[in-house]
Amino acid sequence: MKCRSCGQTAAINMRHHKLALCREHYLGWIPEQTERFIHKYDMFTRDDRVLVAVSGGKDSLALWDVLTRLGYSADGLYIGLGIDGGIGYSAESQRLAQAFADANRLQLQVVDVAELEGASIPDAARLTHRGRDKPCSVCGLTKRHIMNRVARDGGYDVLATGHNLDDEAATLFGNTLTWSTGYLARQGPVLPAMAGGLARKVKPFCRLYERETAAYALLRGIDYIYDECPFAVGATSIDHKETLNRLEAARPGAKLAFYLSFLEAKRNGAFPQELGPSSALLPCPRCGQPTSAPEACAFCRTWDKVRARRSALQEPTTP
Amino acid sequence: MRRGANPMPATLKLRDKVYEVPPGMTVRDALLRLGIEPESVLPTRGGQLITDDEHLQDGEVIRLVAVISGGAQGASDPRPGRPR
Repeated sequence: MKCRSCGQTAAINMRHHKLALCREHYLGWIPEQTERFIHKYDMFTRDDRVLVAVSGGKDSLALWDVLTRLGYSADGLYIGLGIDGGIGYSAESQRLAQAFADANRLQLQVVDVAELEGASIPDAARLTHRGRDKPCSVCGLTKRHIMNRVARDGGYDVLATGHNLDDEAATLFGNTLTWSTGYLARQGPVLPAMAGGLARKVKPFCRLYERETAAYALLRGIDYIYDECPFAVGATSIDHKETLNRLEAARPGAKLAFYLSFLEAKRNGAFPQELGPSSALLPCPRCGQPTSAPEACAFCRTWDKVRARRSALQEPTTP
Repeated sequence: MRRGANPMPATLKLRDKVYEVPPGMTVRDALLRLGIEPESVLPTRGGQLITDDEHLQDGEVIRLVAVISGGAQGASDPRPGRPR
């Protein structure tokens, strides 16, 4: 297959776009598309300071690379979760994130959860029995809190994540199966900043297929962590991605059409704002981040419980 | 492929799995035959990305890079220069 731009041998074919490109033209096409989405969804400008949430995976490193190539001011944030899983997952992902930052002379902030809160994510999940045998619930809660805090304290205008179309379509699919209208109302390329300190969140890769971001990382020579989080094995979201890929194989463009039709339905009022995040959020008395809870937010309550359990376990038993 | 000689199967490697298929068919046809969603992998030949309409050569090895996140504990990394 030949590159549509130059006629050389193509490195990738995107059936949904009826477009095949060689390495050189593909590495130009991805930033062009990303720039188009940043403008289309009014995500940020070159005057804004962007904080990129970096996991060491292909999507977030590719995003950081693209934003930097496009001339945006983008720092990285890596959150050390303390996940080993027999493969040194967190240690290796941090090493790769730091190596990328160093090689490109970019600023990476590292926040280690165990140093900050006294326990790793897997330990916190075990101590609180939250999420049964998987720490994903504690992990998501903690990452959201830390990302928001670093964005706020660092004076960043926007927090960018590497969510791709497959992530978005799988989330949409899951929320549609359960008609979770509250989640549907808040899903989109941009989550606006909210009074009280919730940072503006954007997903510049939301219309790029996961296959496309992986190809970009490979062709750019970005060294990313190939293994996914050990706790993601068997996750429902991966089942949803596989289901959607079967649809895509039969009908190229099905995933993109699903997501874009949803965004259009949302624009047309299918999911009114009142179904989304409450406007009646109050600052948490402990950390100051907005919460719908009457007292401390879920993050503060969870980590209070972790500390209490740890203390109880460490207290000497009475002879 | 030499005419008259017995063709060597082409090998497709995905994570820790190895598949053998007859040469001559396209990568896409081989993936579909093996029950691998073409959308979920990127085929590489000699460390270079290739499109899935490429025909499999006699005895060659195609490494497949998984693009779906998850499900890869301890799997070998097919990218060039990485431990396998």
